[in-house]
Amino acid sequence: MNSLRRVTRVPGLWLGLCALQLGLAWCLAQPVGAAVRTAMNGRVWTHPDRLIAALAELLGQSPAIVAVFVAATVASGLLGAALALLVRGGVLLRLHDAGALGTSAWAEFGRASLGNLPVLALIGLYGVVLRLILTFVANALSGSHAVVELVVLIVLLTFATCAGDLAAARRVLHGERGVHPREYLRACVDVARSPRLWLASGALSLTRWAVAGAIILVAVHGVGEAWSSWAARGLACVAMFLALWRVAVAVEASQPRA
Amino acid sequence: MLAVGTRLLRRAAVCALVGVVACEPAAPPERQAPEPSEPLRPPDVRGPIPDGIKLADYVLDASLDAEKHTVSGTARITWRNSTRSPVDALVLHLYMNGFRAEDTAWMAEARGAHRGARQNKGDGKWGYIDVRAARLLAHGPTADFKAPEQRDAAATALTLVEGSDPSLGQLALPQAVGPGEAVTVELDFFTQLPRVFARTGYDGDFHMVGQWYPKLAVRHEDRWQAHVFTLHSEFYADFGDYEVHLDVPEDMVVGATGVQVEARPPENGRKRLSYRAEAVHDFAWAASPDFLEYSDMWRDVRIRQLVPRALAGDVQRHLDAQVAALESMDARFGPYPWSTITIVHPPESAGGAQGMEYPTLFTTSDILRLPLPLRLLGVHELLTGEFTTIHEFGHQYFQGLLASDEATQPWLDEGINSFSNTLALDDWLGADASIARIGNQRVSTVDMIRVALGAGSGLDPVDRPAEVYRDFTGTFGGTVYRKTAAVFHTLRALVGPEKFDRAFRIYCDTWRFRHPTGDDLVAVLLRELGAKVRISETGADGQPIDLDLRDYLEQGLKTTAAVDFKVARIANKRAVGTGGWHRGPDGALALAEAPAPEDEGDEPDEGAGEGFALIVREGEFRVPVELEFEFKDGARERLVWDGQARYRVFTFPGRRLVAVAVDPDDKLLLEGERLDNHMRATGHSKPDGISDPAARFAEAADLALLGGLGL
Repeated sequence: MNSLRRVTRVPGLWLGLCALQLGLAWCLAQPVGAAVRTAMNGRVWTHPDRLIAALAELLGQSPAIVAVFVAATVASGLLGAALALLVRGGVLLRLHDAGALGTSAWAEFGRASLGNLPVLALIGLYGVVLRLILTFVANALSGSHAVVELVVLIVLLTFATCAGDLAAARRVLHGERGVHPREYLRACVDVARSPRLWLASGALSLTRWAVAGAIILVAVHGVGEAWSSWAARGLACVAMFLALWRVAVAVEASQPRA
Repeated sequence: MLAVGTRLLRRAAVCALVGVVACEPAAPPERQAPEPSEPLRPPDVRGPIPDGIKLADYVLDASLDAEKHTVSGTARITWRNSTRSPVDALVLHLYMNGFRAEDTAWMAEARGAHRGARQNKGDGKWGYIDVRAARLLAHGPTADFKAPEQRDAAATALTLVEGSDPSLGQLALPQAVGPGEAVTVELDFFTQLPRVFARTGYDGDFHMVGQWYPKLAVRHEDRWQAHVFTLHSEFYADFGDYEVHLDVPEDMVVGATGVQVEARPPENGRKRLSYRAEAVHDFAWAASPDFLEYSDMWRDVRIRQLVPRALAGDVQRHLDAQVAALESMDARFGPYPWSTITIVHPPESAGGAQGMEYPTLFTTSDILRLPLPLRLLGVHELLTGEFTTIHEFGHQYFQGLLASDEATQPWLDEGINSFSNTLALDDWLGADASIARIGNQRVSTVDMIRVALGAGSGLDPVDRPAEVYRDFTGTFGGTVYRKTAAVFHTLRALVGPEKFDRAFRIYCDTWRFRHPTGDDLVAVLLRELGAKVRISETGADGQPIDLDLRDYLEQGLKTTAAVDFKVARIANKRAVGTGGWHRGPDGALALAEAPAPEDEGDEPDEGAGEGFALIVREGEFRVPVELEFEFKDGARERLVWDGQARYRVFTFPGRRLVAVAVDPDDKLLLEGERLDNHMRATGHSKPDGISDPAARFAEAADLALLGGLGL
């Protein structure tokens, strides 16, 4: 089955995860808005295109707003990572087999998510170690060429993502041990021996990162404007779709060959 | 690991930067415009030069040793005594001696740093000027000292005595120079340039040669006005004509004050260039074999840029800014009198030379190289390049042309120039021009000044000598540059731009080629605008509101008082009713029944309530201010409050207030804190204008970070 088809046949999964992501981001943004509102204390700023000057004055009076913003951003990163780990088992299962429907589908999703949490966390840890090693490799390969190093690093990071997806898919979907580093290494070797797999997964990773960058661009170019918020939310849904597609590529690759 | 991460971040930044540099436009081909034949524009364009303003003429003959970074030569100075009393000694500035040792007044305050650039620790740490011989060549009212052959073989030897600070020296004369008489002295000098970190010096082959020769102080009626060279004190000198001969290595491209009148064919690897400048009060030059030259014309003024190849891609942006400055200032402050302006771009390694003005020549600063990601984010700024060019050119007026004493009243040049720069930017880019942008947000010229007011302008009054400002306080820029600009922008907005511009033009016309003081500027404004300037015919009590101009300028220039108004409270209360016991016509008490009053805090109906607004003057600065009241029915009403009392309660019987704005048209640029100028009544909570955008931005940042929930 085609990996894209695996995603499109589970729209509920995509929409559910999108809602989770959008809700999380919205919730975490509220303390920032509340902190600013409290600091404003009934005062009004009437120049929507000159917020930099207003913020310079406001942050001078209430520097705690910066702390709230940083805390919200860090929290969103940590919560995002935690939630991604939490739902990863269920996501793999739904992308593998979308047979169950309705309540039973969500129950199955929950079981797969929670049941595989420890082993997926371990695979995630292997991924962190691999990324560190690849960072050194990129540095060694590139010498003093900073641009080359950046490009090599990005390419190698897509490798680590692809290997992690494959190892996780094998463990969750096919019951492979997966806990031992050897199994993780086997996934790495398989990715290295399958350029098409790496290419497909890597392209989707890069596109997703580009979409994340586009969200920032949209946010900066449309500060305070409603269209910018909705565009950012829309792009976040696109990023979610790309993430699922990338995982589906690993699911497809993990299928035993006939 | 952390180190690796940091290193990677640094490398990522470098990558982005390299990517940008790779995309930089290549250096355009050099272009030449003809050297002007005269240092001044034609009289019908520039207007007359007042008689008797040229009191100090110089003939400088100097040679640059580009290996040792020294300049040696002679300075023949002719000085005319325009005072009513005889003068028995000449006082000279030896500015380069400010860099001679740790304990000079300049170095003791600077402690080896100037505007972020640090003094070199190795070779080239020190700079100095040594006057090795001095002679009296002539003494008399009619001598023509300009022809070299007139040198008197029987010159009288003189002795230069350095002051307690070596930046000053005194030359005793054998005979006093009487009123109206002239005297000519010649000095042999040797100048060691420091490695540049504060305006003047060298960096490799680049030489920025400023304040390099012995320079006469200005004789006031009863004394020499000769300031010790300190960190913030710049310069002050009489106008005169300069004839300068420079002997430099053959490969040097030279830019100098005035116009080049002769270039002898190179000989033995060296060449001799001659320059002439008229009606100026200083002479500076720059030389580098790496300069590319770009010359353009604005009307009959030659604009010459000397640029290292690495920065040549920026010449058009600087040219645009230069032309904009000429257009604006020539129209506003009177015709630019000289026929040339040279813009020197110091190489990136000589940042200390950036941003300094000399007559008909200035150094500008590099345009910030923005990494590609920042450019994608819509970051754009005019501050690092264009603004510097406009600012340094503005000094051709303040104080190149209106030659105030920069040491005694630095605000008259830096502050008034900053004021003029904002006008030039607005003329160029439209009213309330943007100096920087990030995405859809902008920093206006007004914001630029206002943001700097808060932290940097409350310790010292504007009108103080430069030496009083301590570097440690960091207030010189905020006070002298920004607060002065704010004082005059605010005044201009209050009295009306047309009225103010007309008065200011009269100041400029009156004091061209002269030495105005702050009192002179105030006197012109008082004369032209009047001591009381009508701001509004109907004040808060129906009476006219006048601005007391003298009081305003006194507060703005001589005190540390800050403008700060605040909408402290808005409320709507029930109207005063008619119920209760009142005496009737017959003198007896009678009870009048009235509807029961609404509970305290209830919002009354329109017509039954009364709006209250409390406006507080939190700052000590007293100035009239406009207020705008918005009512529930959508009506808006404006009133002018004289701002003299500490606070005022405004009441509106029968009307319900929704919002109040202090200074709704943003006239009071002097007011650094603006957030508390606009408030809405409780229960009418429309967005505050900041919290919603902040929350939206935080949400988008979170979404970008989550980027597919991190899956």
